[in-house]
Amino acid sequence: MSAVIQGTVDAGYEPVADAFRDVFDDPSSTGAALAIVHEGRLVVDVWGGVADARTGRPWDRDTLSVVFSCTKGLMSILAARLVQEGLLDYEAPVTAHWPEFEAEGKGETTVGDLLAHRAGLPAPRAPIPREMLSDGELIADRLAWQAPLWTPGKAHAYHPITHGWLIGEVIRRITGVSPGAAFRRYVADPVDAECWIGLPEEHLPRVAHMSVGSSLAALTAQQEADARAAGGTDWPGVAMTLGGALPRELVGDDPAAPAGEGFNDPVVQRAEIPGAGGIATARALASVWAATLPTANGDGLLAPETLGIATALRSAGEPFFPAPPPWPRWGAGFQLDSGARRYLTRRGFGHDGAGGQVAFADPDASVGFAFLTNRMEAGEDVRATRIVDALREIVVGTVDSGDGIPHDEGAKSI
Amino acid sequence: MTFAREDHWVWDFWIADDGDRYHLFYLHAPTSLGDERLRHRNARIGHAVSRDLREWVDLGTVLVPGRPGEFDATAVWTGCVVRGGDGLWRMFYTGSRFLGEESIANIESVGVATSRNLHTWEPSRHPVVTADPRWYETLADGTWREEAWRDPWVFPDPDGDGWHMLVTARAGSRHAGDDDLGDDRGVIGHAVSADLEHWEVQPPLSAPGAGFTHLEVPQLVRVSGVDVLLFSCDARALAGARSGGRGGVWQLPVEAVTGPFDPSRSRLLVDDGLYAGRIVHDRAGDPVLLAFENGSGSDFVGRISDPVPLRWDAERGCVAVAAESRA
Repeated sequence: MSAVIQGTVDAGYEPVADAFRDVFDDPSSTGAALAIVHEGRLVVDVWGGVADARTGRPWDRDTLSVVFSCTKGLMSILAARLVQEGLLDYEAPVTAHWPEFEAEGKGETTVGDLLAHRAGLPAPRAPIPREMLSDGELIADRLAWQAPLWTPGKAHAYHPITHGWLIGEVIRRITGVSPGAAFRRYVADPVDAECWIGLPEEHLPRVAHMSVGSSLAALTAQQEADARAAGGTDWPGVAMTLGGALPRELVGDDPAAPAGEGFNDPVVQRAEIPGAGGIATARALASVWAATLPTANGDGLLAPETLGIATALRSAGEPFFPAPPPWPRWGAGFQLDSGARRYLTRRGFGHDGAGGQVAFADPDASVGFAFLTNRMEAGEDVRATRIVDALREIVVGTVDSGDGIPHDEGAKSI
Repeated sequence: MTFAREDHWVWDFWIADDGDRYHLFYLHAPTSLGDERLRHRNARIGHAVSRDLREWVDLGTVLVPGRPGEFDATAVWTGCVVRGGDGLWRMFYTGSRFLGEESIANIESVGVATSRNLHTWEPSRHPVVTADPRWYETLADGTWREEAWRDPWVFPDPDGDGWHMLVTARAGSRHAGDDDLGDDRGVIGHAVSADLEHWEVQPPLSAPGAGFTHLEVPQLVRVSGVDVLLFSCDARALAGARSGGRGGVWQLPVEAVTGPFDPSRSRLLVDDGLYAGRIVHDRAGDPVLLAFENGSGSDFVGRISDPVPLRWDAERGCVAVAAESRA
């Protein structure tokens, strides 16, 4: 059946809207939104399906959604803003701002290491209970005292959630305000974007309810079985669950808690979780990413020189924990174009999020992009990929990125 | 909200304040044991944090009993946390070693665990101070069911001359010098240290015969400029002239924190529905009482109360529960 798609699509972008419509193979269980800014203009702003499959509440123009690890991209924009302001140096040791971080041999870790998943702190050694999620400073303190899982700077592996508290604590100490407040001040407010890390209470009713789709359920079940078979500590699993605060899929439906658990829980939605807890509209996300692109009159969020160093390659290749290729590539927190996540051109940068969320900017294509969905899938989830492919054909003119690198489907990150 | 831990009894506790958060260290044991009296033999030390003494985040267990034969082989019990000039946090805690599976006879000693951050602790593996038979009752005396040497309270010497430790202890027969005491041998034990590392036992700071078989969980605290010794003794543990009276959390204003103390002049702060009370100052600087909820009769509750506001009652010369808490 055909889904009812609402919103606006400028002339010439219809194939993108068609790819978006294909997302709704089951419109009664899927909600989604897509926003694209091209050359400074919002050329696609569409949404459809249900915000809550349990009740049938429709996804509308103002529906907010948890963006999971797209949040790390937002924090990376914030960090780059502080670099631009001269307040932060990617090459400075973390201890320049956060002396306690030197415990257990971490003293030489740089700010860039935190951002590029090189800190050795992808998972907490001591479990983090759900009630601690609202106290980012306490979590940061505990990470500061923790022994790293590898020598910082010598290897990399994805820090699905701790990433946010690590760079967030540095940012808090620099700015004097919480990471969520700093994000509003330096990124969201200048762009007038409906985008929060730590959602104000009045916006809770607008948030879509996230559901675990069959492929994500199958993937996490497989991961858990593999970890049990392997024995030892399942560090990638602890990196997701924090040892008990969250379900492995990041959301769940708990009969004892009608709102749901993990990031469906309003308490968690209100907490500042700078690694995964951002909540936004697709329109807001696309606007923020578009605003990172240099403009002729210099009113973008980032200057060209800043963008250059922020998106310079810092981590690539095989990660510390075994994982099949293709592997992601990282700048200073930004997920760079790779076989694991294609953007429009080789110079695209952004961050995807668990369950199919994708948000990025592409300077060569002059695009800010965001796709959000509340039906979380994994593995060979190509919903966003097909939309990006359709867009590339329009704005770049070729199906692949033009540099001869084969187009890979592959692992998606959190 | 009261602090409770799911499927566990929670009872004695002590608090460290790092200036930003209060750190609660508490004894706990699983309710699956069935009989709450078994909790003592199965006690571990847990950790929780709060900014306001009301909302707590539990961080789990931080200290467990030692290995067979060690001073804390059976259980780890009540202690206190202080920070030395070296920046190290030290948790002086009670180690207990029961002599047999069915026996309640046990030997108590004070050990120390150290931490740089109040979250991860390294225990000493050996006691740092034990009951000295020159002044204190030991199991060898055969007069009591346990060698009482527990609940250390460590504080700096007011003149900067090292540190003092108060201990729940019982007078030995030689010190008592009076066979009429019966069980009424509870005293405030005392030890001193120049460096928090090496301790020397001293004679008790109080005399037996004050009406208490033990003065548990001693604490010195200043309330409105007056130093007060706080301790707990429930009705069943009263002795001598106090037998049959009401028990609970007791207070004794003192002229000098290094003693001597006269517990015979103590008065109740609250009765034994609450126990092992501690007075701490909230972020506004006001004194509040926290204690564990003992329950009444045979139903042991096993959780820690919300703060109870306190005030200094100048007319009666004692700490009193502030009127607002009754509203």
